[in-house]
Amino acid sequence: MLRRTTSSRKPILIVGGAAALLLFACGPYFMNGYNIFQLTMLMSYAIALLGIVVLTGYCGQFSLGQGAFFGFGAYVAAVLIGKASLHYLLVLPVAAAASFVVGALVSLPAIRLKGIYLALTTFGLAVAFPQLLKHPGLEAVTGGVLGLTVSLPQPPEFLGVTQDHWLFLVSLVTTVIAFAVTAGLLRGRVGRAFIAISDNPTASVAMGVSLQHYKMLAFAFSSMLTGVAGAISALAVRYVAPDSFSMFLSVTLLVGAVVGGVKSVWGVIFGALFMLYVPNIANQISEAAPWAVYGAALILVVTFIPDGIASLFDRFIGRRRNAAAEPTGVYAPSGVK
Amino acid sequence: MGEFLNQVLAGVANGGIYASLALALVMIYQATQHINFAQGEMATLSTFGAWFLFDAGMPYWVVFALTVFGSFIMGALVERLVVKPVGTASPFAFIAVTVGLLMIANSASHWVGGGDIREFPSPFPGWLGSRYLSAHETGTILVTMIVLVALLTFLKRTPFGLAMRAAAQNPVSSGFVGIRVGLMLTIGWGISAAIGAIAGMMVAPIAFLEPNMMGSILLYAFAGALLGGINNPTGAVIGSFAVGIFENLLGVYVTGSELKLTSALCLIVILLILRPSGLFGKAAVSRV
Amino acid sequence: MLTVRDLGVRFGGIVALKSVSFDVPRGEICGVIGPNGAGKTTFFNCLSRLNPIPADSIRFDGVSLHEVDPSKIAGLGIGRTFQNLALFGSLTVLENVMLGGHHRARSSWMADSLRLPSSRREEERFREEAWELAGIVGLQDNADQKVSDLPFGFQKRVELARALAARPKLLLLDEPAAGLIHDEVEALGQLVRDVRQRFDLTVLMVEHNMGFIMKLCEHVVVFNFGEKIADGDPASLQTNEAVLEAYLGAPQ
Repeated sequence: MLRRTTSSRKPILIVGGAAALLLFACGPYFMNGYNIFQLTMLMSYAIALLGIVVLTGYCGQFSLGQGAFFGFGAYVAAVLIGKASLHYLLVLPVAAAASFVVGALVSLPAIRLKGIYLALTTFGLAVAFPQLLKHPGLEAVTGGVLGLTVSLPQPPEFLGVTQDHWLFLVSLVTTVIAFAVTAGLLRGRVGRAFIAISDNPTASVAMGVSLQHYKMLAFAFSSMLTGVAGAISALAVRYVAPDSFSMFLSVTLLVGAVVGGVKSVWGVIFGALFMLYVPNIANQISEAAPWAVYGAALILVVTFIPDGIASLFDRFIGRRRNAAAEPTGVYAPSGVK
Repeated sequence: MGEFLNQVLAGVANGGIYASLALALVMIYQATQHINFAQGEMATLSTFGAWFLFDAGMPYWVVFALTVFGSFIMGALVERLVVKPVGTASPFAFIAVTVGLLMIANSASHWVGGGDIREFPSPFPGWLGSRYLSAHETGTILVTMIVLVALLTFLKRTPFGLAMRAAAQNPVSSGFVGIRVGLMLTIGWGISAAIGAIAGMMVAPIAFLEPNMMGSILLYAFAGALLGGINNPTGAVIGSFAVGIFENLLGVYVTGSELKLTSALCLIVILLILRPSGLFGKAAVSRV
Repeated sequence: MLTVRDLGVRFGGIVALKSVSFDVPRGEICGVIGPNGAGKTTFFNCLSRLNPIPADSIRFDGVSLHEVDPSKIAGLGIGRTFQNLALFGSLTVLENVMLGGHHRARSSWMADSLRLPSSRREEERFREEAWELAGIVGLQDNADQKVSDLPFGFQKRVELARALAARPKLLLLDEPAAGLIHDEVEALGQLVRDVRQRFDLTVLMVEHNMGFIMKLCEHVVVFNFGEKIADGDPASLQTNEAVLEAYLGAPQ
């Protein structure tokens, strides 16, 4: 499950996955509007966490600024619907493309920075983003401190579903596409190149991997995912405001990614569940509690299950790589076995 | 001209505050080769502790001493209980743990302090003030300088400081020559927390004591420390003053106060790209 | 194949290489020897463009390396192994070797993402090639193991297979025999000869193991203190005064 660059062909996993997906897709028929909204938010978080898996889990670039990309996508969606009256089905692809471009632009300075310098810069991005949104100069577009409201899309008549349900379906299709495209990217040469950059940048250059090209791709692809997730959340919440996308969001996303397993594509499901349900539970203990709970969860997971919940499943499914096989003697003479 | 000087000195005043926290960041880096994202929040917590001691009626310098000492203990305990179990895992794990501590400390400050904004006393006598800098601002700069000198002396001139730096840069070899690496790390955290407490007590009279007091100050202190070269206490202080001046001048003359933080960050990013090890830092060359 | 003229490298105040000049003809196995600190690995790093070099100081296959970006070196046909091993620890043997062939792949990231047939075919082809190379170095049974789990000797073999996956014209080996026992060294020598023939390679190798160098190399270059002090066939070097002095010290 962790950082795999090859596709698995195990039939039981494919059938099981398809069944789970089908169940999930039918869920809204049995739920009220609020629960459907929660499922939509779950998908939004999952896609955002996928972005972190690509950037940090595979490519090893540490970003504390994902909240800014999430917010960017959300605002793009809000502005396009509110001011440009763009049809909502087009909003998601446009948000994706815009976020991709922004990610590529941000990567230009970012790829020259390493380690704590990159952490500081992305941390700064997370802190600065709300300030930018509130700036009077941009108020005409962003709505300033008060933000923008987003009208909920109307479902097509023939389907006979509620607005919430329709948004759920649109998000579901988006999520499936996001996972498919990400898995496709990571399960081949690009995934290997990302991991190579993470493990040993000098050697990867010697093998012909261009650091600039791949780091930029990682940033752009990751922010594309995160931006789409933000756009979905804007449609679901029906409101965007600068303070929703503060540094705390970035930290929350980080926690979700770590809990799920930052190197695992499927682990994001656990991370998203964590992000969705833990604050509610924690809020009941005390108002200040959610952050403490997040903080404690982050520390506990990193200490005891460093590769996240996904790694527990790894062992459960028995995907342990075989114990060291005996060598085939000294170097074999040239010739294929 | 007078106005410009005013703004520069206002920036210097801010810089003094950033510098005090930056020293804590440099200390933790010298001791552990890592950055502690929770430094600011821990400092806030310490300052709340001080406030309650004041509330109980104790005189300033007694509170000061107790807070510094108590923070040392807090830092050491945090290292033993939270940081040590993570082990020498990836740098990512370390950053994640300090971010977790940030959240816990911030929560704790909210719980202890509620939403109120409190006043915090300043120990500096009025005659320290001048036309450009208030008494407290001058006093802060003085205190920061004293801490800087103490830190430099400790790190560069004492065997203990040397052992601490050795333990950070090469734990395995240090262990072989008899340095108790674990103890060095614990003490390093303790000292950083103590410096952070001093920073908190310098900041609070100006920024007023509330749970999010150190939020953006951490960022500026970070920037200052990196700008000056994270390995270099003197550089960090100079860098912090530079950040304070830049931020203020940019805010007044160029972008307006809403974008101060953003513009300061842009500037720092540009500088880091041009000089990746900071203005005074030394580039590390790795052998392949 | 490789032409070096007046190559000089400084790191701050330290002169790592001074005015080094020699040629390596095509198809040769050439050894680079010298005491520690002589500049051998620095020289290799120049070929990999990890250091800045003076203009026109290195020509490979007619191309000047001066302006070439490090990530383009593999594409020019230079492959290498590293002295202290530079494997991708979390990848498997097969994945490491497949990555060696990275610069030869043609499909774009979008084609990969959408799993287009052309992309899948190319991936399959690389996997088969990597499997073959794993066979050549005797690691097919370990193909799906994480390289960080493997013992040092196996890791060295992975490095070699990975370097070969780039289909280089010039193969740089940085201390390939270090840490190997006698039998393994013998087999390594045979393997180097085999791959040279099979893949039509030129080999340039840094080594300390004298017996290995003398048996294997047709041409040997000797460095000392950053300068080339001798250049010729192995036999003639054994009586070369400068070489003896470098290794054994001047006669008293």
